[in-house]
Amino acid sequence: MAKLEVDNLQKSFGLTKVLDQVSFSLSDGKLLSILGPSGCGKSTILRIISGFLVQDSGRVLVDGKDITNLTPDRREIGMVFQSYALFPHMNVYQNVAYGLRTHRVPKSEMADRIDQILGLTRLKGMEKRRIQQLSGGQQQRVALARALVLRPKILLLDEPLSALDRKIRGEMQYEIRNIQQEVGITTVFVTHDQEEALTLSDQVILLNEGHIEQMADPWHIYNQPASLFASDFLGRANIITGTLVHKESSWFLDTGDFCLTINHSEGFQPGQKVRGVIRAEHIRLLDSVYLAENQLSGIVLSNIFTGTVSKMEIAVHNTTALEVIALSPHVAEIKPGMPVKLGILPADIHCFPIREEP
Amino acid sequence: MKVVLKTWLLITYMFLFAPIFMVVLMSLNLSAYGTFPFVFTTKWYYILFTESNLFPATWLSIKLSVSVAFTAAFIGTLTAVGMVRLPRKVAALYTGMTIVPIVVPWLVLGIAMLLVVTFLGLGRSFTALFLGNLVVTLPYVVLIVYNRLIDTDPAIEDAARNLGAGPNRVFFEITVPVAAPAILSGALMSLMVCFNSFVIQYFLSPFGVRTLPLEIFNLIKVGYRPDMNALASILVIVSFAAVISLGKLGSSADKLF
Repeated sequence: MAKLEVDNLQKSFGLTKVLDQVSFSLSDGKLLSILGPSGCGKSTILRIISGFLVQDSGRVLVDGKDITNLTPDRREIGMVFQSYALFPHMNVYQNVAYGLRTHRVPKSEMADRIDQILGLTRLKGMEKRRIQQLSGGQQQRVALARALVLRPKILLLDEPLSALDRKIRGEMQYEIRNIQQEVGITTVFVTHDQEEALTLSDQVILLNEGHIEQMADPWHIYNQPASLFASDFLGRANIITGTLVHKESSWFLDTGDFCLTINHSEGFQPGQKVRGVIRAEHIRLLDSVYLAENQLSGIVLSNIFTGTVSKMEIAVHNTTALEVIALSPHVAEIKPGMPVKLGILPADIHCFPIREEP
Repeated sequence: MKVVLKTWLLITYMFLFAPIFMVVLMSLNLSAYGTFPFVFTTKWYYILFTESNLFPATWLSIKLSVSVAFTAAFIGTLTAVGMVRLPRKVAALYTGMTIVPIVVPWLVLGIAMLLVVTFLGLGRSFTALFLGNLVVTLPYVVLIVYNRLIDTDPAIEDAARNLGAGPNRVFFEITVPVAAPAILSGALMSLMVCFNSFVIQYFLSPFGVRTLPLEIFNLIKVGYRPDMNALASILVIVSFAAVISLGKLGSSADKLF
């Protein structure tokens, strides 16, 4: 149980900058997800916290103490590896007991602690099983038990669910969250799966090319993206380019073909070139909903059923194709070629200035 | 089609096993010149264990092979452990080079070794014999252990560090035990290769000292002795046992534990 602070981490491999000014802090018992595309440096952060890599500069503090100079075996930080990294020559019990043996925990205490952790991870009765006999989900739980039995100050999970199939992944998400909250351990969870990050976390860090794009709770990171990257990485986003217009104390985004009312953001300049981002599910079909602003008419290009939701492509003013996502039963009647009315709430349009190319 | 393939398989294996089968058969045949009709006897085994003087040579061969196999296993394992820590491309270069002592014609290798040990002042000696055999067995251990290690998830060593084990502890409790089946099978392979390395032994044995292959060669020059069939049969059975255990180690390495 501890507070984790990461202060201004920098790391380069050769000439490639992998981490750039990464700072965050995580209070006791919270779960933080580090989310980002592959190669964004998220695993590098975990390897630095766990001590397998040394940062070029910056500090990692646990409860205010700098652990930079401690070797991995002295850090009291538990880690679950992407491949689980269970010891193939040991059974379940021996795997879980390994850390207790290296820490010279007395035999009697050892048995109690293993018993307790196997109960928590629902592995009782599997003590004698060999690793090769376990399913992916069970291996995952052994890896978790092996890390937690040491009662580490911090728990690190490196894409722990990526090797599991969809259904078990969903179950393990809940299980990991439940165990994490029961034990109350400060946890950092690395993933490239946005749904996983949003489901599990108290806080989400969105990492891109080694720097933090945004750090927020799941609701805010999804609904209030701080950058074009953030809005595009999470969910399906339509990006439209246009110019800001200020008229009669209202702000508009003028694409040349149509004009959308938007909410004011700080730093807006009339005439500024911006990219407007609208999530696919925030574009509503107007036969059921009435909206006063931002009504558009369009022609359906396609309607693809994907199960719970359907994905539609709708041409607006014959120029822009917008992707729209809606619950399947609501749009079952919509066929390509049909004219439709669309509505977008001003609050659902996020505008980001286009950076001038140097 | 199936019948044709099965027959083909049968013929191939008959071809492979015919000499071995003949040796075993003749070791139990009364005729001293390997002629038929077959009359069962254990006479040659009796002679082997009483009159023949093959045991000193056999014992020398066993001592040589076991010590070479042990040394090869030790040095080879350390080499392989070092190699997996190299970048893949560099390691590939090394594995390529490792095969050289196996693929170079051993006659050439034997002569070259004799030149080297003479140059070094060792001459034909037990040291030369030992080192020469080490050269041709080491590659097997290195390659077998390296391939096992490369297939092993490197994260398990990190996991052990993370669980509080120091580097030495990780090596002895994780790296070596996980590679143990491969180390064992490399050692067994070395044992057999060394036992068989007639050419190397021919060039490097001290004068007057005969390992079993050299002794048999020596006897064959004078004349054929059926008690050699008996010895050969025993060796065949021992090698078979070794091969079977080697296969067990290779294929089901994980299940050993």
